[in-house]
Amino acid sequence: MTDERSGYILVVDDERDMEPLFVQNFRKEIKAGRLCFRFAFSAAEALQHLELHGPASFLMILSDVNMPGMSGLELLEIVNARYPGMKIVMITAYGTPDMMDKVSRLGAQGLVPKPVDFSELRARILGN
Amino acid sequence: MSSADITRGPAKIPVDLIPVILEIVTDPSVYVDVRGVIVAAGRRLAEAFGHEASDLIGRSLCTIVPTGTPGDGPIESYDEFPWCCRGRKAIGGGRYHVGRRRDGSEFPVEVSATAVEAGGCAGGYLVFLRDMTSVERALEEGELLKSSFLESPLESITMDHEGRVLEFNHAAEKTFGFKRADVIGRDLSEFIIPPGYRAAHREGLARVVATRQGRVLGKRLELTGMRADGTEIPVELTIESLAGREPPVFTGYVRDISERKRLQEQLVTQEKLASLGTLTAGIAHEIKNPLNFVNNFAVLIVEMVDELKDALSACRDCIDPDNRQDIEELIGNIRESAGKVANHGKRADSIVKGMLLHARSGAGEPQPTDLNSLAAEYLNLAYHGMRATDRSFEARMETDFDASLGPVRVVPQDLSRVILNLVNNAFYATHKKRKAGSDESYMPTVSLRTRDLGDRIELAVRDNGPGIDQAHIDKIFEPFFTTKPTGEGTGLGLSLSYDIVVRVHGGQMSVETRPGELTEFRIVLPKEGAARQGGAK
Repeated sequence: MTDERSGYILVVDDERDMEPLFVQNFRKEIKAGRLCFRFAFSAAEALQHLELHGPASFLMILSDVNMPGMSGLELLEIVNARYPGMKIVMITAYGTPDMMDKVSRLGAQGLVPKPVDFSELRARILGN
Repeated sequence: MSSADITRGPAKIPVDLIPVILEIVTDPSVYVDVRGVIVAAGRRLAEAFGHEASDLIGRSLCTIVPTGTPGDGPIESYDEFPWCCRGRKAIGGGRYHVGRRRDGSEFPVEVSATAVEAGGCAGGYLVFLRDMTSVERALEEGELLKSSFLESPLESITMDHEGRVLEFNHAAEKTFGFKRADVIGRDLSEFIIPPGYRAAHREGLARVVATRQGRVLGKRLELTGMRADGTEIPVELTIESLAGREPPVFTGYVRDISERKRLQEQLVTQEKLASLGTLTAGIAHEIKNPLNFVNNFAVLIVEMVDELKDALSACRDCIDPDNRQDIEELIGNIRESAGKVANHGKRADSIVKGMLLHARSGAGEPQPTDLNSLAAEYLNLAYHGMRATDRSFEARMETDFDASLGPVRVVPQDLSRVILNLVNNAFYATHKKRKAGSDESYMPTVSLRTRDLGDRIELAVRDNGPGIDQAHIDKIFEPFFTTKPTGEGTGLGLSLSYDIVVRVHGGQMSVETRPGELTEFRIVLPKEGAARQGGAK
């Protein structure tokens, strides 16, 4: 990314406590203005965000795989089709080799296992 | 011996009665003259021997009773009746002979004869020929019954109303280790019934004898029996009272059910594993999500408390010393507590992970696998894993791989987990023994062995650790059973391994241990995989 402050990270998870968890973990980066987050609590809501703010306003999407309604994998497919080049990293409790194959075939940039190791995730995001 | 002797016999029938007797007697009968020539035939005779009655008249009795007692040679003539020549008793007494039908077939026949008086001298004999086929068969059956009792694969013991052994069959000898000759006549409660049950046995027997009924008759009971060496075995017992015996005689059919019990227990373990599998798939995931939050937030609190401490030390002077001490103490406590939440959360997480592995075992596809290299790889991995967590860990590793072992159809992810579990346990046990012991020369040693067994292969993991306590040996494959201190083991490693070997791969898993010396886990797997094996059933 050329301008690291030019976008939000969209976190998609049906668990509402993901918001305080991310906000508190990245409190320093947020305070320093290095990172901004938006939260969507379903895949459908995530698509609304993308439509509303435009894909260019997002640095990347971090999405859970298992969600009620549209799954993270379906979201991944739609985003890839509608917004080519958008970075998506999947988060899942099922970090099996099969799952890794699947998400990379569907065009994801990576897979983060649950529970999320935030120091690792931080390195990954800031390394982008 | 002459025929004249017969006249001295006691019972003589007047000749006039002969036609009447021949007509009314139900057994085949015949009237012969003193030389054994048939004079008149009874109504059943022709039928019994397959002749026309008229054909037999004038012929020798030898025609239908050709021999003397079975085993004697043929009788040439009836001038001297063999059955009449052995003293007075011969007349009227039944003797066994061979009867011959017209078609040449023979059958056992009981011959009794009575002298007939005609005008004051011996006129001949009235001979009764009873077909003994059914009687002989019954006798043979009696013998057969006894030998079938003795040879029965079911342990069978007969006792009288006082509990004394009347009969003790071969199977019972084998199972209980007592010799039949040694126990016949002995009180059952002196040897086969364990001491703790003897009073109850005597009481029960007395009640059955007195009332002719008891709860035990005809039912299957599960009891404990005692072998000659004093060991106790679970047995199933059915007691029957023999019909028509007074005082009563009882036969007990005993079955050694040790094997059945063992299988039942194994089944229970397998069921536990299976239900664990289905339960975990649902529950573990439900638990895992909130647990992830617990863990993430706990780590967060620890971090933030550290920041708070830094922030506080930056303004040491803005808080008065008394308050500051309280605040610092509180912060310390919060940090410690949050650390505890994080630690226990991690524990819960590893349990949930173990449960998920259980649920997921068998999901992979079996594929031809080089077990030797898989075993070597995971032995190495386990070693480095141990070294990473404890620098003081040291162990010798030995491998004895059968080079002729071809590819084996297994699910490699699952089987590698089994090898890892077994090797980890072996390392853990030997390391603990080394740390606890005073023997400086003791070197933890873990050996892996593979063998080609034809259509199956064997994989063994042996260690020279402290061995497994006998009290634990039956439980080690049960889910959640562990001897490790709280927090160090989930108790799922061996149950998962067992599940993978037995349920997923259709193999066998066993353990041999010598306290203070060694433990060896042995896995036997079908080369062609479980699916092929299952299909053959």
